[in-house]
Amino acid sequence: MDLLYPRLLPANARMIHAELEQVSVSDLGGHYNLEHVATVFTATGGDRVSKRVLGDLRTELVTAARENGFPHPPSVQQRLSFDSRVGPALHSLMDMVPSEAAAGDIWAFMALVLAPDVAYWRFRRPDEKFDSDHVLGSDVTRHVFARLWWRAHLLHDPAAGQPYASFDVVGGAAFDQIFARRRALGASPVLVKAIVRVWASVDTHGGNERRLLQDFLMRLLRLAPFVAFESLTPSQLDIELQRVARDTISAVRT
Amino acid sequence: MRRQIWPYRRPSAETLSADTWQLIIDEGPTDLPASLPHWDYRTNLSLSRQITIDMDLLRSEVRLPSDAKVQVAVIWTASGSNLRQSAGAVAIHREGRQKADLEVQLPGELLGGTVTLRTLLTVADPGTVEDPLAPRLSGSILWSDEHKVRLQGDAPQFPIAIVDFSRTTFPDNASWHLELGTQLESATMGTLLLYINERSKPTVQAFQRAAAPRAVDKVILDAVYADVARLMVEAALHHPDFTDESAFDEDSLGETFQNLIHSLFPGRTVADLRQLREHSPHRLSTQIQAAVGVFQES
Repeated sequence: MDLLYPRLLPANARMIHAELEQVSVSDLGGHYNLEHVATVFTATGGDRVSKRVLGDLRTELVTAARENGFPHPPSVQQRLSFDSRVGPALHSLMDMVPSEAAAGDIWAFMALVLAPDVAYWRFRRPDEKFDSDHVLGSDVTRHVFARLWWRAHLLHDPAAGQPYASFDVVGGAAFDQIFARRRALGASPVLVKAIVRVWASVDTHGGNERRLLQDFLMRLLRLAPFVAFESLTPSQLDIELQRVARDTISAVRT
Repeated sequence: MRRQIWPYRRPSAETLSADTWQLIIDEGPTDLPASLPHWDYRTNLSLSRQITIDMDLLRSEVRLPSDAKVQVAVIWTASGSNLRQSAGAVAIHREGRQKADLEVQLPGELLGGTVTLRTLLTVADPGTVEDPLAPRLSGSILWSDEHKVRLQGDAPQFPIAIVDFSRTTFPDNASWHLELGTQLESATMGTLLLYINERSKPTVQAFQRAAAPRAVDKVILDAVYADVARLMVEAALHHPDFTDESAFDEDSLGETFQNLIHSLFPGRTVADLRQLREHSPHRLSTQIQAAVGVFQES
């Protein structure tokens, strides 16, 4: 059964965000709701999600946040631990097809109506301007929950004993770099899995991992017009990507 | 126009011939149409086509070594889900004239929007490459073609939501509102939404009867279309990154703007229209009205 989720109208999302920005994280718990009048559902493609499922999702999000320090500002480790738990949980509990998950307005509802306390807690930093992409539906690659759902979707292996075992193989920042190149690289689950698999096994010799990964991804982008990565078997793909990774390491070292 | 320079030899058109894609339905195979109006996420797509390859000609033209292996693969991309995956591949083992029968099934739950089916002849294994102009990477693309199929028919090509405006920030008595993003590279389906006010019964009914409109429905649909076209053209011309030279990804807002402007003003440049907007915005508005053909008998 595929579920359809409420889509929060963008103008209302911006208005709600402006209001919630003024509220402290500890007080935001009183601002959640399981429904909102300014939402629409698509006409076909599944059944509308029930309030019971939305309630279960909220419980899971709040529990994960509390176990990682909520409402106190989370440490780096707590943020990573929260992401590791919530990505697979959202992906397995939401029962949503990718076309639904590509709609930013669904994620605006999740962050601004269902769990605003958790959403702002995860990304709010003292003395830093809050990036509205984390809660609005403007960019699923940056949204507090959407980026985790997509990370789980692109990396999960339904046939494996532990379908989400790859979720933490590379860090969130590294995955975000891959996912940000959405059209050329991040659209392909097979390629994303291979990039993560190969990159996790690369010896960077203590180099700047962020810069090395950028170089690695840039080389793959250059190859993409000539090489059909998706046509390769996983082992062939690993061999090609390992070769590119070696080029990256040697280019940066010389 | 962008032209791709290939870093290895590619075969001539005589090397390969491709039949049309067939959609497999209960009654048997039929030519795959450009759109499937009744599709939804629960419908898988079963497709087939045949590719014929002259392997001897291919090997000599591309200078593939005798131990190189090739295959025909199908890779689909869905604009609705932003996903790209392989639908399968057929290895070509023998020499001479070979036929590859492709039979693929695309899972409905992963699709949406426009599905691009790409058929590719690729190098599965480059073998012992000696010629410097031969492809040396597994996956190297020797030939490809594309076929697009739009799912869900015409109406959802333009995302529409019917909602009670009293529950929104829009005026209660307005009949429609166009929500338009500003990122030209964003997917159109995610950044464009036409809201119809549930309280405006004539407007709701006009959209419900869009396939067979009465005279009054047609007038309303014409008025909405003209307004939407004007807003989109003006939004495009207002954007500094939207130029005659801009290249946008498929199904992006930028591409949607380009298609609209080309269909309304064939032969006119963006620079020309932008100048008109700056010096005579009312005249531009009237020209859009004329191009749309508002209230004209069809």
